[in-house]
Amino acid sequence: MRQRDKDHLSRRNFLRSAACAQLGYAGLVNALSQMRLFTAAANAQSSGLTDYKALVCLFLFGGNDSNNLLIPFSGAQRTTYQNARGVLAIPSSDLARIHPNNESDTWGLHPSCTGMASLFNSGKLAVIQNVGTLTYPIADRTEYLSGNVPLPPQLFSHSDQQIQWQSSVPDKPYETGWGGRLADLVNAGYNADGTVSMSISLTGINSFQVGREVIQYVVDKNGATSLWGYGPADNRYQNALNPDGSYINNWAGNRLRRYEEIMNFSHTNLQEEAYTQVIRRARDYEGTVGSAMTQADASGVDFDAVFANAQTNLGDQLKMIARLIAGREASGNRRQVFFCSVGGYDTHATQLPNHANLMDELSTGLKAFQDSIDALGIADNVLLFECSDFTRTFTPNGNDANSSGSDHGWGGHKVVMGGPVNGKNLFGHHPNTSPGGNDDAGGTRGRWIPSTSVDQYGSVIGKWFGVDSNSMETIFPNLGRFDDPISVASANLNFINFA
Amino acid sequence: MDDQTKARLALALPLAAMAVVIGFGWSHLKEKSAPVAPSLPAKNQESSLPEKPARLADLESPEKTITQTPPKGDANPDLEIITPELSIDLGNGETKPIEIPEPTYAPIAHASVETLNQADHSPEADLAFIQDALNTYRAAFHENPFGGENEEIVAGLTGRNARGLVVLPPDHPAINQRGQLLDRWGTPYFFHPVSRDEMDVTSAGPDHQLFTGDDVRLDLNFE
Repeated sequence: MRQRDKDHLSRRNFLRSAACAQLGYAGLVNALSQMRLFTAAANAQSSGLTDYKALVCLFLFGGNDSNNLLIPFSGAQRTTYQNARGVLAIPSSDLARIHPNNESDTWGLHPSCTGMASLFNSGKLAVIQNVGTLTYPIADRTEYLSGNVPLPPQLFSHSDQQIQWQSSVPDKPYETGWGGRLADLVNAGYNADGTVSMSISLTGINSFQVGREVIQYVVDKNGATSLWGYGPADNRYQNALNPDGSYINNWAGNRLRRYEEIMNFSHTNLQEEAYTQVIRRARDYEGTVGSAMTQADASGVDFDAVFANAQTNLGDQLKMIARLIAGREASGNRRQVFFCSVGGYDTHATQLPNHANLMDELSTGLKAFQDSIDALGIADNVLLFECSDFTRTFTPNGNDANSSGSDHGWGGHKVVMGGPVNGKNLFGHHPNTSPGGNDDAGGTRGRWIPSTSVDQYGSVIGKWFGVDSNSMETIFPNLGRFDDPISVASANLNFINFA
Repeated sequence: MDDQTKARLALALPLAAMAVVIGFGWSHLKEKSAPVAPSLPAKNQESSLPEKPARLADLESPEKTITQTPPKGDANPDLEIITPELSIDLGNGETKPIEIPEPTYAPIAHASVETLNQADHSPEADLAFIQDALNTYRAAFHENPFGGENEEIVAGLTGRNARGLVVLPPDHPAINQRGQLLDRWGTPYFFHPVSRDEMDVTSAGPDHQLFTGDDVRLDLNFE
């Protein structure tokens, strides 16, 4: 991690800082607009535009205890783990073993993560260690306690850390998410023929996909969100529309016809116009998603069979994403960003059984998703990455294994998966897990000071998605405060194969 | 004047102006609030707390010495501070240390602090008091005290903040030697930061074990 030279303030740096401070987000927006035009122009000149890339953001709400996702199997780390985790320690013999290429063979995943371990060992999954929200690099506990380095506001608070993970700009009021900024940047260049938003959420409106121009579109595990009142759940317009799409001459059909006519009125009142646009857009997108589902069904992949062991909330979301990717031609988009999420990770109590269930849901969901993408033959075109509020305290909050849990921590280990991943490796840096040690953020609970920032983590992903170096700081405005994750070897963040 | 000095001056002058404005506003607020603030024992003075047992546990354990007079000065001058030194984010990666001003007692501390953990009040009333204290803190700072652990949050409530604002006296008998706020059964309250303006607080209840059936809480909002 870059150490700041606090005693040196050059004229250039001062002017740059002052300019950034004055411009603030307005500057960011303008820069983003310009970069978007450059990117659009550059891509318009490139041949084909036939490549396709899908980015899948998986958010684990509540704060995943990744201290019990990536677990030392043996060695000194194991001894520290065993001693400090107390009743939350998971026996070595139970771990799903992984065999990283770039680390000692002393690691395992949570026992419920056999599917993820299989993906790791086959080179399709990697773990980035100790990632978290940072405004500036923090070298160690001493620097943390000194007060000399600005900290992300409201550390240890759920919603603040969730938003900061999704904005990547913890030291500014939230305005947009980095997924939304990515979409704004690439949409014009790659999705000129798109018939649906490139930003699709499986779990409602989220902060990650909020942009200036691209509006996120929400679907659910069954596909598009339809108007209610015109038919049963499995065929929402059965009572109002004929198979050819024409209106049935009945009460429901006439009601839908009149409703859509009203929604097609234009309004001088901005709010009225915006409302009708939402409805019109939703109906248009609904048709596109329906076509995508038809294409997915014709893809030759039996998604129900692939996800047979992942019939969970997360599994259902990932299955729909896989189907939307299978039907990508219907969307006309060459770049898509998906957002899915699950909650329940705030395991203050009864952690061992609850976290085991969560890890099972995670592992089976990821395995099925990767299997489906592999079956579609586009493994190199899809990248999934995981986020969470924070990891949890290394030390438990009680002495009873049946009731104890862990509390809010900070830096945690993140999973990335897909063909582009340099799999079977551990990236970043494992923290010194001694409570009260150099990486503990005050006290002795084991709250790791992140060694990799969200900006660094996200920028590697952004590069894969098509963000060039000139545009990177418009997506991650604080990135320059940290070591370049690509060029600085000591950052150990080459988790994507860009070749 | 070299470039570094110019740069530092350029940063320092607006901040100094802001500090003057904030300082004036705060002084004005203090002046306006002073007449209505009930009296509370100043540091190093004997408490005027009524002669009541400090905690229900003290009632039930006659061998315990009932603390009616808070210790003089800080609860524990050797208390390990686990929160970062207070500083102002200058917005350029640098910070400016904050010297904590003399304590300013918020009205909430005067009005209700004596009721905390008292036998003639309910455990729910204790939690309501803590929420009131947090509300008072938030009214001043527009966010919760820093931290996720009991002692971090209590440090903020007891005056370790940029204004020296005390909403909970640091020498309150319910604060232990580690700086943790204890419930009436002697167990540290569990603070759960949900957002910058929401903090769930839980008492472990008579069995001293969190997350069991006898826990006392006003609002728990786990994901």
